[in-house]
Amino acid sequence: MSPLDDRLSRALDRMLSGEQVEPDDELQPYLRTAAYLRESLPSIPAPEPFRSDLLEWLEQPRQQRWWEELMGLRRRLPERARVPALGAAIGLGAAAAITVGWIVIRQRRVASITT
Amino acid sequence: MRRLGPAELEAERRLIEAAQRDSARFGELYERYVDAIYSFAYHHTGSATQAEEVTAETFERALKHLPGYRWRGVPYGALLYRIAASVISRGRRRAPFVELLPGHASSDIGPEEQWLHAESGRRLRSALAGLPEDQRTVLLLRFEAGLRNQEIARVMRRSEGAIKALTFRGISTLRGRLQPDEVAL
Repeated sequence: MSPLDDRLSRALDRMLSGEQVEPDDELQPYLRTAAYLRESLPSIPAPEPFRSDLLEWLEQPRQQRWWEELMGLRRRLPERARVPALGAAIGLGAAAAITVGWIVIRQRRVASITT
Repeated sequence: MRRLGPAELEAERRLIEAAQRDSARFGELYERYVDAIYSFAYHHTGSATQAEEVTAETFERALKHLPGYRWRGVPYGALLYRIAASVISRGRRRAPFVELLPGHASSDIGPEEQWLHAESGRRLRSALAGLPEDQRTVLLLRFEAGLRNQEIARVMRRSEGAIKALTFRGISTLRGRLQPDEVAL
C-alpha cells in the first residue's frame, strides 16, 4: 500500500462524513473524480410491483429440508449441550458403521466356507 | 447505507432477534434495506432485470440464514451487501450480464432510470463496467452505499489496506476514462 492510497482513503472517509477536506496538489485530481462519482450515482429505489411481490414471496411459509430441521434442533439446544450432543451423534454413527462392517465381513466368511 | 447511532443499532439488534423468533418480522428488515440493495445491484450490473434477480436472491439467502445470524454490533445491511456482492460475483462467472438495448428497455422508466439513459450517466456506467469486479464493488460501496473503509473491508472480507489499494486503483482508472470536464464539479 502506497502512502497515497492511505491519504486518499482518509480524505474520503472525512469527505463522506461531511467534513471539509483540503487536499494537496497530488490528492486533488483523485478527490475530484471521487466527488464526481459521489454526485453522479443516484440512489435507485426498488420498483413496484417487484418490491411488494418479493416481500409477499418471502413471507410465504417454506418447507424446511431435513438437514435444516436438524440444524434447528441443534440451535435449540443450550450452548453447553451442543458438543456432547454432537459427540453422541458421531459416536452412534461410528458404532453403527462398525456393526454393519462386522456383519458384512462375517457373512462373507460364512459364504466362503459354505461355497 | 444510513449510518446508525447506538440507539438505532440497539433497535436493529432487537428487530433481528424478533425476526429470528417470528419470520413474519423479517418484512421490517426487508423494508429497511431493499432499496439500498436494489440500487447497489442496479449500478453494479447496469440492468434492472439483473438487479431484481440479485435483490431477490440476496433476501432469500438472508432469510434462510436468519436463524443462525449472530449479532456483532454491525448493521444488518453489511451482511446484505456481502450476500449481494457474492451473488453478483457468482452471476458473472456463470454468464455475462445482458445489457438492455434502448429499444428493449421498459417504456415506463422513472426519473432515476433516466440517469442510465442520459449521456453522462452512460459514460460513467461504461467506465464503471470496464473496471475489474472487486474495484467496482469497492467504489459502489464507498460512493453509492456511503460505507467507510473499515465497513467495506468487513463486507468484502478483505484487509483495510487491500480496500485502500482497490479504491485508489479504481479511482485512478476512472480518472483516465472520464472526460476532464465531466469530473470538474
